[in-house]
Amino acid sequence: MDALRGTGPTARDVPLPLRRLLRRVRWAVARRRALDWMVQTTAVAAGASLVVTLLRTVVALDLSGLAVLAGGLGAALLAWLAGLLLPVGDAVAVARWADRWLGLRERTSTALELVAGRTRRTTLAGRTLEDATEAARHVDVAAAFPRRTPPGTRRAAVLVAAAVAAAVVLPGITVPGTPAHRVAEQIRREGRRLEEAARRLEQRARTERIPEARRAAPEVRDVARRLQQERVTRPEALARLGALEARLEQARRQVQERLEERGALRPPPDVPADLFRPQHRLERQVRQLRELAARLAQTPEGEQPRGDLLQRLGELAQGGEGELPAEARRRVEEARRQAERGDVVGAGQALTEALQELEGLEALTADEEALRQAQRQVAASAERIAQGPGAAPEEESPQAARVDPPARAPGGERAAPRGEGGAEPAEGPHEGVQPGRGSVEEKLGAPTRRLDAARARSRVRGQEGTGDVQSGELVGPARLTRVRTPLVRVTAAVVRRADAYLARVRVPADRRAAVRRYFERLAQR
Amino acid sequence: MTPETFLETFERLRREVQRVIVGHEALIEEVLIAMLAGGHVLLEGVPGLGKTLLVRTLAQTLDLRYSRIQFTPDLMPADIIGTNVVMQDAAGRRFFDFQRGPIFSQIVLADEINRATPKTQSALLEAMQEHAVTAAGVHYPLEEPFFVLATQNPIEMEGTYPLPEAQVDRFLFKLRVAFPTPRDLVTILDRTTGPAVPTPARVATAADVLAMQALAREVTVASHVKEYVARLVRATHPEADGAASMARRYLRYGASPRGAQALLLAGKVRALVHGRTNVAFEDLRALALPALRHRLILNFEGEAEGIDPDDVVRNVLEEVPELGARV
Repeated sequence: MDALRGTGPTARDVPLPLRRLLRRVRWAVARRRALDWMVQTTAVAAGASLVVTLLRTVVALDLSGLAVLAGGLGAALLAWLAGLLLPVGDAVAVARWADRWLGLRERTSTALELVAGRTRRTTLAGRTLEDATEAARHVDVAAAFPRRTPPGTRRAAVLVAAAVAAAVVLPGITVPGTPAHRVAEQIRREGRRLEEAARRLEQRARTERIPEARRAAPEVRDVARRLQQERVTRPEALARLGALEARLEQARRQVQERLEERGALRPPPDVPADLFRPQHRLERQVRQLRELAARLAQTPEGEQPRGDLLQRLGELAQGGEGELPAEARRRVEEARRQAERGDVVGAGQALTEALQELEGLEALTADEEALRQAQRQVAASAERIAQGPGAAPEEESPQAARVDPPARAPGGERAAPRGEGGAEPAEGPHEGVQPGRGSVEEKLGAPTRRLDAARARSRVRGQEGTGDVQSGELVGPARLTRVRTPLVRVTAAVVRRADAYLARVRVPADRRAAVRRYFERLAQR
Repeated sequence: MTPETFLETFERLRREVQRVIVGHEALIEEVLIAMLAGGHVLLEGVPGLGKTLLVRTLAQTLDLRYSRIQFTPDLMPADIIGTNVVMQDAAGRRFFDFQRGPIFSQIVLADEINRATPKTQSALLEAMQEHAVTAAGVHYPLEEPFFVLATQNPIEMEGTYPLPEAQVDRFLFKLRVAFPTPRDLVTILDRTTGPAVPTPARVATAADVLAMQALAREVTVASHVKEYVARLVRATHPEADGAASMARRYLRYGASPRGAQALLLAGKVRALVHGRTNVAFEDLRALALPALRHRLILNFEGEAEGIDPDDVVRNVLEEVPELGARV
């Protein structure tokens, strides 16, 4: 009746049966329109979802077909609500609908226009109103607007079913040679890399008895295997890697807090914080204490140790912030006092306790370092997956590139040689030198990375407790060196034998790259 | 007059005509509608279908003065309108006296109108449009109601003069008289070859007809119904926006505004005939063919392909939505 306002007459001028009829028709039209809109929106959404799902077999889209479908269904719900709530038109428009659907032969709309003053009133105007009112009394709106299935419902249902089926079945399936396939391959490759990293992490955790890293390693391995075995889309892979990284970060923070509580992370005053390596300092301190403990053990019972030993103990005990952690310092001080009293056994006991404290801290730092390294590898994998197949593998960290020797297969034989990250070995010099197989440059492809072996701990070999041992920490970047093995031209048969040997023999991970580099340089000559 | 008496009178008229004319229910209704709308009718059909009988029967039922003009090639305008004749009174003085022609009737049957020359045909123009004639500078109004029913034979074209567009446009309806069905034909034989020929009774007067015409003009028309009429007529114009596809292809010119007037006025009468006081879309659809078919001018392609204007009107009805784009 809103259309009638402002034109003189109001809704009250419209006879009650007509008003009632218009209200019912308005509601029926809105209901029918809402269903139509909902079905149409659903069909469009399902079609879009299907297209997205199909596109994902070819193009690396981060949009999921199910997400599109869910969004579309939400939009369909909104469309339904909008269809119900939005006005279907003014009263005259509704009257025209009523005439049309109820077969009233323009009685209602003419009567309403007469009331609204849109049509000139004639002597028959009153009769027209009466006629329309009488007709409105006897119409059956429910019969004129029966509940019906909106047109296109079957098509929409088929599209939704197809979209759901496609969204369930197709994700992860890619057409070979397409960008999507390359992304899937990359995810699997990163899964292999991570599995290798998890294996190394577990090995290190076992060797160095670092509990948090040992707990984290299976999780890393599990995620890595899932990335390889399941049909994982890029967003899913990134989500899993993100969760894993967060888990590693949490574990590392716990370890870090414990280290901070025990004062192992305070750098010495003369070392910048960014160059401070607590693990190296702890190693040095452990060596010093072991040396002192060995010398102390050589002192006969009841005698006072040599003056330089007492002085050294005193220096360690008096060291300021950034030197020995507080507990270890206290033990060393106790050892010094007991040594001064001639209680060599008590002093040795105190030194042993200090050593245990330091070794515990050493294990914690190793734990923290291992977790940090695993975290970096996970982040690097996630970054490469996010960047897509175009991301250069050279960007990975040197630690990630390190490859351990092939594991022993269950049958006792050595597993087949594997390349970096567990992949099949890349085409290398052993193929490039095969006679009749093309030039070396073609086979080699891009040059390999420079040799960047991890820094290894150095220990002084010899008999413990003999002579004065001075040890110190050299802080700074590692020096880059080149392989100095002389290059000698060898025959293809020799290269083949070398390859076969490399495949059989256990070559340390940090040497494998050097060997490979040797053969590559050899091939270039 | 009320709508009820209108309907009652109309039904009586129809019944009386149908006592004589067998079948042709739609034709009879359309002739009556045209008459009550104040328009003229062009009846087209082969000889012997009862066109003349229909007009004569109608005149008998209405108690109106009736005249029949048989159009021939040598018929002159003065033969229709009338002429000044030199007369002499009792004193021997001579004077001109206007002798009224057959047009001075209330129902005029212009039989085989296309046999007369255009000059003679056009003598009807003023009478049909103005309901008056002018002779020797003197204006003579015709007695109301004035109703021309013209007939023409669509087959026998030799020696005929097709009606000019301006003349055709003045007919409210052009009705096609179809051949009777076998059953109707049997009834015709029964009625016309027996001992007694039915004679219609007079059931309405001129005053009744005028009152009915006046009441028809009071019928209410909603704005969107009027818009529909306008869109229908506009869709017959090939150059107009919203022109129907057949109109674009086969028409040179569409219906005139007089066609829209004819359609709406006839629609009002039909609404009353069907017991309503408002015009519905169905009234317009039912009357679109007789009201528009003679107002469409085919182009060369239409003529060459033998397009029937009725097909164009049907195409217009199919392509023009009743409610337009607003609802």
